[in-house]
Amino acid sequence: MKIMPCPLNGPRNISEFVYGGEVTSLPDVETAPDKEWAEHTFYAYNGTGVAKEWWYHVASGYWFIAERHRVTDQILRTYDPSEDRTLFPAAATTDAAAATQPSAEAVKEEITE
Amino acid sequence: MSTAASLPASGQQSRLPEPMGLLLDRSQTVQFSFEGQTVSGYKGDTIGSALLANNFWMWSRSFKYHRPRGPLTMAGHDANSLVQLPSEPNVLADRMAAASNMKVTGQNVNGTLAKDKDAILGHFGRFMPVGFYYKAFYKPKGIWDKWEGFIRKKAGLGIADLDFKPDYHDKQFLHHDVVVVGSGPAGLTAALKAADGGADVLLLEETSVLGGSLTYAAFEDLADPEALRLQLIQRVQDHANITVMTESVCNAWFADNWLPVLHGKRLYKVRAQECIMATGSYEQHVVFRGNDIPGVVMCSAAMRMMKLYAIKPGQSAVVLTGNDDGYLTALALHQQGVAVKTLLDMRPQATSAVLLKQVEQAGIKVRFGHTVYEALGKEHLEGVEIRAITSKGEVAPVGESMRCDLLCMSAGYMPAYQLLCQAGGQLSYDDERAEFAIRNLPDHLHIAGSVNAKHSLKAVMADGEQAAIKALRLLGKTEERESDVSCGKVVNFEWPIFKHPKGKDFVDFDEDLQAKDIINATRMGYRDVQLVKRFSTVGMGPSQGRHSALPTARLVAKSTNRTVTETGVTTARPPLTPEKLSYMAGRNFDPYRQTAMHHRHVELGAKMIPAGVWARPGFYPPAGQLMTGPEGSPLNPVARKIRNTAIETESLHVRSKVGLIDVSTLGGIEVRGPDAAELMNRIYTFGFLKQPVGKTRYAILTNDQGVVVDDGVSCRFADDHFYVTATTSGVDAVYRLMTFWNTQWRLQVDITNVSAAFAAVNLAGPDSRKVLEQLTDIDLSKDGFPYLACREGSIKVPSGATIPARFLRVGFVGELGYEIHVPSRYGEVLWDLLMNAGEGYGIKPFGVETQRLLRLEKGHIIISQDTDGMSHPGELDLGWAISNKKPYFNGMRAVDIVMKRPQSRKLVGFRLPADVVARGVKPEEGNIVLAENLTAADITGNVTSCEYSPTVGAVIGMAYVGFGTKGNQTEPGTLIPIRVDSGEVVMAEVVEMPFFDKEQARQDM
Amino acid sequence: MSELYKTEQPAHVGWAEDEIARSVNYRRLAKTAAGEPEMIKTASGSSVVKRVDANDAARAQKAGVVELTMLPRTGFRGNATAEWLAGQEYPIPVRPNLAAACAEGNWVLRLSQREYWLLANPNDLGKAISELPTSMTETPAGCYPLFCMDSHAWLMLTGEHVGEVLSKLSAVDMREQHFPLGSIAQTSIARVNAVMVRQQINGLPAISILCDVASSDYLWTVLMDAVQEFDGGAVGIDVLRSA
Repeated sequence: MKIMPCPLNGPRNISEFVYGGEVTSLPDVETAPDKEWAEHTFYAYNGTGVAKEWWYHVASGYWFIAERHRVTDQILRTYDPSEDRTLFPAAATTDAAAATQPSAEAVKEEITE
Repeated sequence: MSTAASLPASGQQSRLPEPMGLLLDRSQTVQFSFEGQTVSGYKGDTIGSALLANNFWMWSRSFKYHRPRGPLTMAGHDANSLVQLPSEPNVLADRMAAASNMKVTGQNVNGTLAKDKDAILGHFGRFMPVGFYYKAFYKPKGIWDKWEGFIRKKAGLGIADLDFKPDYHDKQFLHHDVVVVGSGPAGLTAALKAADGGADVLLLEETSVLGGSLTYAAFEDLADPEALRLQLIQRVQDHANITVMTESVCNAWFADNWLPVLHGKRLYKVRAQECIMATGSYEQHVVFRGNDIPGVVMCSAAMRMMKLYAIKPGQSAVVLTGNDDGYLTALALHQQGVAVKTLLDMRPQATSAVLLKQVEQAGIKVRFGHTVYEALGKEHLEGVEIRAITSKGEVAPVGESMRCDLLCMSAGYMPAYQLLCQAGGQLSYDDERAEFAIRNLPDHLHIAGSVNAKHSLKAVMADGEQAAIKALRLLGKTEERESDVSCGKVVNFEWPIFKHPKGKDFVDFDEDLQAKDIINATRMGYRDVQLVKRFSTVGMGPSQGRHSALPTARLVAKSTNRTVTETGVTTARPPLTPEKLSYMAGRNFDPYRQTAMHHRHVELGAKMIPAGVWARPGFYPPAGQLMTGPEGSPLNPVARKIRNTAIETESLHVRSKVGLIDVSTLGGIEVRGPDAAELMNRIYTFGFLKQPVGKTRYAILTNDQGVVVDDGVSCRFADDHFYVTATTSGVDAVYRLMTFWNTQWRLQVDITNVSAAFAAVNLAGPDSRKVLEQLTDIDLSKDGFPYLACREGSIKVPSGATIPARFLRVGFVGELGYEIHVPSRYGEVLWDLLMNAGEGYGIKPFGVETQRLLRLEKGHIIISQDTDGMSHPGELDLGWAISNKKPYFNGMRAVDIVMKRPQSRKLVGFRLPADVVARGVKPEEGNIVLAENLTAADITGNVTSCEYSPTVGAVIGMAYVGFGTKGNQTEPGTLIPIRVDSGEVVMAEVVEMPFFDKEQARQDM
Repeated sequence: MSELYKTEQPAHVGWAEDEIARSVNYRRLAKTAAGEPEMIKTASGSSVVKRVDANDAARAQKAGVVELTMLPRTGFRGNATAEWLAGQEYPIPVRPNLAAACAEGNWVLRLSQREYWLLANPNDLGKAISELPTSMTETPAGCYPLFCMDSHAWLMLTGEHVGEVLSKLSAVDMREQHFPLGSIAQTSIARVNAVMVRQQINGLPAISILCDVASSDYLWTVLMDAVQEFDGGAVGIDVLRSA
């Protein structure tokens, strides 16, 4: 069972998550030709390299982004969508301080303090 | 004694004196039966060791030729030791503890173990060449069916107990910083080092005692391994950071160190931050004729017999070795009173002068460059024929015979590579050392000891320590860096394969495969080791290539002129050892969901049917007619009649009086906030910005491909408050989609899945208003609360209390009706209140199957029953529910594109002529619709719903039929051919929907 | 679920008719081998089991299961929530997936940047929590009341073995050293999604389980099965209340 490090909930079995497809942007709804729209809908990149993907933690209803190596299947990095500068080029607003899961040690300190 | 097996088994023979017999408690005896004869042993014996103590050396018959087989490894690593217990087949005799009153028998025998009628098969060996089954029963077509029963009987291993009683198995998750698999010297050292470094360690051992090779092996560099073992395990047991699990098998490696461990009646799912595999290595046999005769054993097996069980393995022995460990075995045998007639060293010379001297001092004759060419004997070893090795695999034309009743062999070792290869590790062959090494392991998986090609005790222990340092470093618990451990000790003999013209020189004991079988497979063109496996079945038996993988790789490499590294071994897959299904089946979590009114349905005798994870009332049969289990299946004509009658009765009751159905399983999503309407507008196809407060609207959801994937009712309770229903099975995906998009859109809106928070009923029928009036103060008049309106209010309870409620005037079943949604805690009381209030109007509950009929009569679709993965709005005549005035909704562009394209089918209503119904013929969901031109046999669509409607007085249904590019079968009056289950083609008439109340007056009352 | 584990709820017997708000599990609690349990009214007027039998305290020390579904709880979500709650003197946990106990014994659970749940104190039977608004018209803009009183059941495991009991049900390590006081795990137990909170109540180690209400009958059978190994079982709310 692979582990997915969730930015909100920490490392969890990947069975707790739902894959949401690659992070892409929609073609222009008004102007994009049908062909472009069809390609966006049906074609997925099938090469090597790092994939940027949407993942959803079911128990907490939380969407986040994971960067995963397509060859090794290694999950390189996960983060809150508000930190993504392609999705949100402007400085993030209220989500900017999005949850990053504290380490178990930090939680312990937090509580025992 | 000449041969052990020729002696009558007459109770337990005397055992070797202590300290031999490490596992025995000689104060307690056990007694059991083997093939009807009494066997006695001590507590601590395995079935196998007790058998040997009673002179039973024949344990089983081989798979193909039914040859006598006995102990080979004494470690539970081979298939020779499989025996039958009454309730359990395929028990490893050399692993299962002996217990009193066990009834042990041989398996895979025709008759008895001693007189196996199928032993004659051994003489037909030349008629059963490699790939025999593969080729012999391949042609002519159908011949396999004739042979299968016979072959299965011949090929079976053991008998399953069909009267077994299930017992309690369960599962548990464990988490550790470091998991060490294997408790030999490497594992013990690694566990201690990791624990000393502050890690929380789990140490797994498959046998009942810690120590691995320290329990049975002899070492050149350590005189008293037992003292070291005791010292190490004392430290382990005293260590607060180490948890020890013995008799625990790590049966696989899965991603990120997820380890299934079998122990007792529990499957442990262990997550290790760092995993150290110190799984050791399997001693390898020498391939020569008769190498399977009972009395021919691995050197380590003889050592285990003596040291663990105090068994004297024979009277006169020959040792055949390709390494120094054979010398140690010869010395140990000698010390325990076994006459070692000769030590055959396949190598040209010894590498340890010290050992050679010790052996010679013991009076054991050593012959270099010699091998056993053939072992002699039938049911037990009687002697060996010795030949000088002339070149790789070749021997001198003549040799000499020597009598003996024990032959111990060691050709070297194969790392226990299986778990590591599951983890992606790769084997590479070192030609110098004639040994496989494992590389390319994942980051947090480490190996130590002989599995890592370390063979001297010193190197093994150092390797364990270095692996622990690496684990600690990766855990951030040390800054020390691990270093490589080197070990010069060579243990593998390069070519321990001596093919005999008459065969029976076994490479794979499980599958009775001889050297020529492997070579012949390559000659037939199966050059790849994976294909050799499939063709010859090598490595497919219970020991999974532990002993056959290495000689097979060598033989295939030689035969195909490749290197052993290029040849490799076949893929190792989980599980490592046979896994009882009870480990999988034990305490399987199978959640179910119940509505707040669930028990009311059960009390009313409802026929409950599964709807996803929910249980829902299908219908309410009359008292005494509830059929459950297999006989309640609709395939049973009696059950089917009860069902049909019940739903007809219930549907007529709703049409004429009033009925109540639990619709709590409906999905519900709260959409609140200033941008609530905007979100609804972007998700669903209709326009929602101008939806009036207090009104509902039909909400259709399309996906990126323009397919209709969900529907529901959108209720607007305030400008900034929508409550939208969704299908039972679809709501989680709808909620996920809404939150997915709003993560990007960032509208000011809160989206909450409230499906379980609301219990809901649909009160439907001409009298429903009169029933509801008694329970609420809201104005229920036609004008005050018209069709398709929604209200927030409350339900009155006789005590004076009120229940907050949401009311929706819906028309799904086509009658005056109210959906009433209340917080789930009030669900059961709501049901009771409505049933009480309806008593004077003859209210009756109705089930989901009845509701499906009622909505069919009205021509309302059910998503995923009447739609499939291609259904776009045009096919469903839902164009009216698509807003083309708004800039965007989910799937909009795709809907535009697919609706512009030529259409090929459309969903229509049909009705079956009375004469067809009279013959008892009824189309079922999924039956295909054909083109009018029957000869073309062109499929134009399929039936999605079909039921007899007592209201319409006909069998009615919905079906996709040809349209556009596939002709036009949609016009009312068209006759469409439907092929029913029997294969008959019946003609149905396309009719306009709804089938009933075309003016839609009843729901609007 | 295999037949081996299946238990049916008893028929509806002996439940007060005026009990209009009911836990899905009330039948399981209405009668036990020891007879009728004692009941107690919560601040919102519903009943929870006060005491199952004379051995409640002993069971609770090992592995008790308390059915608290009718004990008040609520939740709020939105950007304005933290400020609004803080204004009412509720402590705001510093990060998501942490819980804080209020001075008066209620618990505040922070489930995300903007989502907070409040669990009642068994001692006052939920008085403060039951008085909080349930409609968005009564809360500030950007603060939406949630539905966890009805969408979720509340079961609580108590005693020294809670971590071990949960290790049979969940892949998340909830032993105390890895899941200390105040930790929250939003995860799946026995394949049902739940919010798990490590608490300490009336001196007892406890883990609250807030799970899908429709699955709570199922989860009840699972918990009853899991605690047997530790001589645990159902207990009443009294074990959580100071004398």
